Amino acid sequence: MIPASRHSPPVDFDTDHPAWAPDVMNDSTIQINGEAVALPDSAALVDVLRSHGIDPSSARGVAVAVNERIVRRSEWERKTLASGDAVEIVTARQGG
Amino acid sequence: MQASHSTSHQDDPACGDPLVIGSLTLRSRLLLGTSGYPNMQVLLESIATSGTELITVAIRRVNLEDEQEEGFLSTIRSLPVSLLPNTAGCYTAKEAVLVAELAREALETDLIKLEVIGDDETLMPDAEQLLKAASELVMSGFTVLAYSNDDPITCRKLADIGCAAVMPLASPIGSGMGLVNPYNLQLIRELLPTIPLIVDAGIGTASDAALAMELGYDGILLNTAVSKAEHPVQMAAAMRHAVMGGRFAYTAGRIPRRFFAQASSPMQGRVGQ
Repeated sequence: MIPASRHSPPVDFDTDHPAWAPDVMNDSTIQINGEAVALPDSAALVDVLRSHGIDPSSARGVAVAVNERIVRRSEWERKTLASGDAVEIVTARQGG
Repeated sequence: MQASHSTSHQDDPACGDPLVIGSLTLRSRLLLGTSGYPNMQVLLESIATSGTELITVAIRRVNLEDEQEEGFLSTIRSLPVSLLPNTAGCYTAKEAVLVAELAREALETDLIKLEVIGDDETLMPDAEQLLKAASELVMSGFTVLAYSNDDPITCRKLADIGCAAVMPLASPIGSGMGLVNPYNLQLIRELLPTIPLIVDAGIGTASDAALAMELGYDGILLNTAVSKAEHPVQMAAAMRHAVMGGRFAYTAGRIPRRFFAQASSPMQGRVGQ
């Protein structure tokens, strides 16, 4: 609570109100293809892939970038994510 | 219309005249885009009927909710064609390089159609960013087919950088206007006699493709001309023949243009002489 001053009475802010939600990710979220999701406890990339239906050992035609840097398939197993990371999972689609 | 494919190549004298780009050898000089078809069946029939051996694809986010959508890649992988991923939608060298690397990882190919766009209405290349991206990608071992404007100097720079093919536009992507500046295209061919040159973008109908081939271009890359035609599969057939016809005409050596007539029937032996 902000105490009273000469100019204004005490104000109690409702910090649960969405207006207080910070623009930056809080400590436990990451972005997957532009959507905010919770960072898994393991923080492992492969767990994120599995939870989105991609089997890291057999998936073909898929590539991954984290924070605009490519993560090669050979590095998937080792890769851990941090809060605020932006993950892109891509494939080939129709195009000219 | 029965779709036919590679058996027709054996009858095709152009078999001895393949298009070589990097380590890729193509018997068809028509390259086909896969976007904007009415449905998957029409796309597949168009690919087959066109006789193409190289189709382009875009790199886009996986739809994490809809697994059925992912059937596209597995379907086209089963076709007797090579895949050429593109960097469509990239506006900077940095974006294009990342997309190219993602494409290489996902599709296990070094081939990349490099597009770096400067404006979203004209889709004209940003030459500065394009050259920067091309340079980085060539150094990283990519086989770069660079979509370019029709400026001979930009094209020469792309060739000097080490692109495997230079692909000047005929007119803006999807516009169907055909070859708006054949003079520039000719200049580019003159300036760059040996590098594979492919007209990419703006082809509208068969005669456009034939004209580009008659100018000595090595191939044609088109998408909208077929995918948005009233009858895409028929247009795919038309383009197949147009590219072949234009190539045959070019290699056959055309007659010069004359201002006055030159009789083709002999004057000797006419009745009443």
